[in-house]
Amino acid sequence: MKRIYKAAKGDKVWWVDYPNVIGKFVFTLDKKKFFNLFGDYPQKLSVEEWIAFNEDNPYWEKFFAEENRDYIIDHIKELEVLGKLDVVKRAWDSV
Amino acid sequence: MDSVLKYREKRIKRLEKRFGTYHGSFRLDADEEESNNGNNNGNSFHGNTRIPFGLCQREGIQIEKDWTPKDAWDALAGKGYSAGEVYTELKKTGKVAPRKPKAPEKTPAELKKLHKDFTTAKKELKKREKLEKEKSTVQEGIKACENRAGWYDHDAKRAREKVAWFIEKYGSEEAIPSVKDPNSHDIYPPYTYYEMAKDDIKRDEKWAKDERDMIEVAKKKIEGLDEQINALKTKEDYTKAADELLKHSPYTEKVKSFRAIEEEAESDRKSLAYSQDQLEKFKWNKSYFEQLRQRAADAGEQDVVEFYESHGIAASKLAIEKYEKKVEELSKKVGEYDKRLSEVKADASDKDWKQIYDLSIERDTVVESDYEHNGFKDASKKLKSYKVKYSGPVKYASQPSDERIISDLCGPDKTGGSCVSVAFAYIANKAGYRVLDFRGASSRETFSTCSRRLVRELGGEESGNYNGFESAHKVLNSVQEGKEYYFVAGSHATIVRKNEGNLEYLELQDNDGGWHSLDDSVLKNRYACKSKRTHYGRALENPALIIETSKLAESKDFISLMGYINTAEEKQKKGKGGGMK
Repeated sequence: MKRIYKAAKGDKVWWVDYPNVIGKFVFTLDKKKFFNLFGDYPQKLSVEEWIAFNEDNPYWEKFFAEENRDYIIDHIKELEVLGKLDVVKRAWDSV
Repeated sequence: MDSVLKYREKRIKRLEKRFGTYHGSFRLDADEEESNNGNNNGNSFHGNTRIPFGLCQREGIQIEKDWTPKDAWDALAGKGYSAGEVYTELKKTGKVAPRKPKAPEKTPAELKKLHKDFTTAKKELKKREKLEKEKSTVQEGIKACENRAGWYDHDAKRAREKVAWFIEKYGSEEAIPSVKDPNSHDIYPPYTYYEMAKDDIKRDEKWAKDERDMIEVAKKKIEGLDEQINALKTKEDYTKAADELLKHSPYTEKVKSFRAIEEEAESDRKSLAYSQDQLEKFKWNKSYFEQLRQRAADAGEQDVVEFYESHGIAASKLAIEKYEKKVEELSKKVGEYDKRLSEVKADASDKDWKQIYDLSIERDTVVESDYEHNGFKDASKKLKSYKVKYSGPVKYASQPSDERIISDLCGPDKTGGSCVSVAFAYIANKAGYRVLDFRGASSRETFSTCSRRLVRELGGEESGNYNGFESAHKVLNSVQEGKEYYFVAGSHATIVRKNEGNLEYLELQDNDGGWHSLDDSVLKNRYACKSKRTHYGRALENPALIIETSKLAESKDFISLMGYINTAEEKQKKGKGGGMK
């Protein structure tokens, strides 16, 4: 059994709840592509998906700061184009 | 003199704490102490001098009046104590564990014999196991032969019945028609069928006999194998020879020290590799941001130049400094470990050393045994059916500190979420068993679905409420200061404790693992706790579960099952720096 829900109204991220399983954190942005938080985030997300996820989940953005630094380096040009350089500040100032 | 007496009282109290009630009996009276003080120019109150005397008292060694601490240490050497070890132990654990009595020393020839006996027992046991396997294969063969012989007997019986039917029908063999009846649908004339039945009898009887002959041959082979097996050493003989060797080998204690250093070194090597990796990464980051800054400068974008300067570059510089310092410290430590390891092993012959080393590891490795609780039995069955390899946890030669355990276990999780496995691994490590990280796939899935039942069977307390926060609060109310608990709420499982009145949870799925404050915001974000949840309009329970970690650690079933989490370091799917990146 699984159910899909949003943590807060207005969120873009849908979380998948598996009531009998401990430790499984799965989310989706379009109910088609599903990501495992531990394993897929952030490397398997597109820049747009990554930004949307971080906006809804600042806790996890901070939690995965190290992985996010690698992600930012890999996608810095796209982030510059999107005008989202504030993520550099958030990721590196927490070192 | 008052201050000296006060110091003495303080010191005695501290020693009593370390050595228990034994210490009270060897207090010197004040006059004697005073006179000693005078004789030794005030040195008799040097705190450490009392430790060897306390140990002598505990070990029943008669202390002479004129003994110096050195005399006491010399006397204690025969009981397995050395000053260096005792002080290290005191510093680490705050007490001195009693030593096992030393076995009488063996001559080199006797030791050689013990090694030889052990090697023989090991070889013979291996051979015995091979022969026993062969015997069971032969036994299976006998069963198959018996089955086949039974089938052939049955076929021969059917063929005999057919022959009898022909004789009964036609009166005699000669009367059976050898020409086909034109009205019959049979392909051949009756006599041909009669002949075929007779041939079947002969053939089936021969095959049945062949099978029985083979059974006889196999039985003789089993007799031969039994004879060979009985002449070989048994598992008990092997254990006895191993015990004897470990008891008398001069390397037994050294191997233990060696393994303790190895364990520490392994942990620091892992930290060193992680720090080196981070250092390289931040150096690369810095140079990359410098390139970006240059590009922005060339384009005349002053605000971008300043942004990279004050954030990316400045932060990378700080991180480089931090990791350079760490790498330097850890490199020094790792170098010292190598030196210490070679010193411990210095006078050992490679062959004998390896024998004792392997035996020591073998002895400290958990072997999967029968499970007492049904939940554990089922979990083991499930893991076996998924072909998860069992790797018995090895008992630590020297119990690591909590910080080292946390540092060894924490790291980015690449397995898809194995909070249960890592929390269990932590409990096993605290119980003194080296359980290295955890695996992904079937092992993780099994533990994340079966763990509730396992915990409940060992006395876990569960609170079922539709509000996840209320469930969590209810079970967390039972948390006591000084104890650690395995706690499940929402979609997450961790270790929790109460520290100076505040609840804390242990984060192990991140490089910056450690104890963090536990509140409702953490329950919401980290544990994914919900105030309510529904499925197609039906309200679902949000249970929380808690158990003292000691209850799990003391369970033989729990430790045994950890062999399905434990994995070789090179195969681990998480850890410092996320090796699987």
